[in-house]
Amino acid sequence: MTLHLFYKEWLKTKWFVLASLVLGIGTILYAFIGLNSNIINAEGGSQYVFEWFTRGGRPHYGIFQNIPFIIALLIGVSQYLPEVLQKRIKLTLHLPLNEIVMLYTMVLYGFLVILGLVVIFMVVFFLIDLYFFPGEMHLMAIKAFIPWILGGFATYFFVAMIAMEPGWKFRFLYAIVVYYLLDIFLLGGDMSDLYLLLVVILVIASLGMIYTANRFKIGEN
Amino acid sequence: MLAVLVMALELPKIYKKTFEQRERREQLVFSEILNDFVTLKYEYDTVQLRQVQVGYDRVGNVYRAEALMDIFPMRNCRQLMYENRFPDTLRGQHVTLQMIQEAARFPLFLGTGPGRKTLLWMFESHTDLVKMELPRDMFRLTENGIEFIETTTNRVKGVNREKSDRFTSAMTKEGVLFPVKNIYGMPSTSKSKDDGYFLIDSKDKFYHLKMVDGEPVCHNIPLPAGMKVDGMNCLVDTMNYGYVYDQDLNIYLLRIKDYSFFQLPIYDYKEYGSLLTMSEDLFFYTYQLYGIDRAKIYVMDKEHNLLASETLVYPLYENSKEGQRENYLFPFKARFTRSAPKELKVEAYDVHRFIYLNIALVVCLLLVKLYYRRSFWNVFNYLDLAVVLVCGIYGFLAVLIFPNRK
Repeated sequence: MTLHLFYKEWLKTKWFVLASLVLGIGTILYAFIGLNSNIINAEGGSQYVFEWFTRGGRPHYGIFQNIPFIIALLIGVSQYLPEVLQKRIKLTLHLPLNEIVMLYTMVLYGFLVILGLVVIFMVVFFLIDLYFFPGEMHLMAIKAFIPWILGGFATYFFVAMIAMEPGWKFRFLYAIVVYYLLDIFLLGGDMSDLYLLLVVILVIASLGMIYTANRFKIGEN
Repeated sequence: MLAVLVMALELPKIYKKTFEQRERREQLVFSEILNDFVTLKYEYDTVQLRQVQVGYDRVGNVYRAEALMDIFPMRNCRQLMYENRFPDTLRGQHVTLQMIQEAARFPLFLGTGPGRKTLLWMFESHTDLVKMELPRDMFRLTENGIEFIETTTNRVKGVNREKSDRFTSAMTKEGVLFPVKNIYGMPSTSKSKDDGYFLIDSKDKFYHLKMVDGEPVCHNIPLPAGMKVDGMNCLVDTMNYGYVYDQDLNIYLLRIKDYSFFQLPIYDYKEYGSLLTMSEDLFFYTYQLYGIDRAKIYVMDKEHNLLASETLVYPLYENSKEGQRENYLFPFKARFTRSAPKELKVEAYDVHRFIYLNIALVVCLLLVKLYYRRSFWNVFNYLDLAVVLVCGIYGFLAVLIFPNRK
């Protein structure tokens, strides 16, 4: 049953997954093309670039900042918008499976897809980065990526939560709260002491759907 | 709970932006003529119909417009020169406009802070060039030595073993015990000469490392008894290597001549934040320490003898009328610190102030619930009330956004 549900989700989202893949890899390649041009054209070559990065300049991976959020939005919207707008989700909820299990199978699909995409992006990024930089720079990049990637997952869970909400008024209110919550993931700087908070937000976000799906099922407004 | 967090972060910010009334801050400036501090304030002038600067000295004299310019000839040198009122002699010394302009230095931001341990440049210290030349490699400090990484135009080539070993052995010979705890220097090409780096080893000993004619030069710097180095700011200077801070945050100048330490007469840096600024002019060094609501200014002569010091207290938003009213409205507020690493800080206000609003909101929510005939057997209804009682206005808005309809 789970695999069947996964297949149903795949049919809905395949083009968006492909678009996300192209967008992510494109952004990474673009970042490195810019970096290469900077290195070749700057007097002093890569040393200037090292110094510029470590001094807190705008590193080449900065452009990647919004990508996890955008792909989460793409996949979340492609997955839930048709279900909710055409009320198809009601059909899904009547399948002979526990509703919560049902919904979380959908969420699990989206989560795995985003995880897969992020893993591909990171492999591509670090394979190219290894060519240019020593270990210190990778560490900096990893530290910067962690909150963005966690933010991407949180975005996905929140999209699912908002999509399940039956009332437009409440969707709007949730969106405001979610906007400010996601802002925390983009604070920038050294966020290593905030990882616990980010994970807590992520866990609560993943549970938020139970609340709105319940409201959807009983038809509250 | 997340909605409460978001509101605790955002609502106090919106309140502050809406109601805060900022006044132009007072300034405390040392006058070279009066040899004492003068407080500069902005006052509304009924003739010019605008705010003008007025100076008050400690005796009670008031200085306006021209008189104010006369007691600060160095700050207003160009205007005084234009008006032909610039004095020939200041503090018993013949001065010209050029001397004043050349001696003035833009404030330097000093203070203790973590140094950077990786990817630094080792410059050649023995050079006739005025401009620093970039070396072809960078170094990092590892657990048991120093490593030079060679770079080519577009990628890292790898570690230069021979050079790394040469430097590591020179350092070990001088007594450096790896891993190095901290390193201070000026990894920048915008300096006229290079003095290398200063490092603290794992046994808290202090060393000076530089490269002369491609060879490592390492010296142990003898520390006064009981002193441990806690930080350093390097300078490009002919007399001093820089400012050194000890474990009690006393400030010393490290002399180039003989590696001796000269202690500055500033003994309360520990009570302030880490920022310290130094500005310099023809006659004085001015050091300023910054606290949350105050700044302390030290004025010293060119031999670093203390001439005067004074504390300036700023009015804080938290103590203003608007800031105090905030305590009645919000039970607490949250913010992210600007430090590295960033932290979430939650500040609770006085319970006696906000509890009235919280109780009023609980009653309000109870009436709403009664109006909609919510069940008294549902535990979530009681949870909502508890959230409002504790989180006040944030909780009230949160339960409205995420309603419980049972």
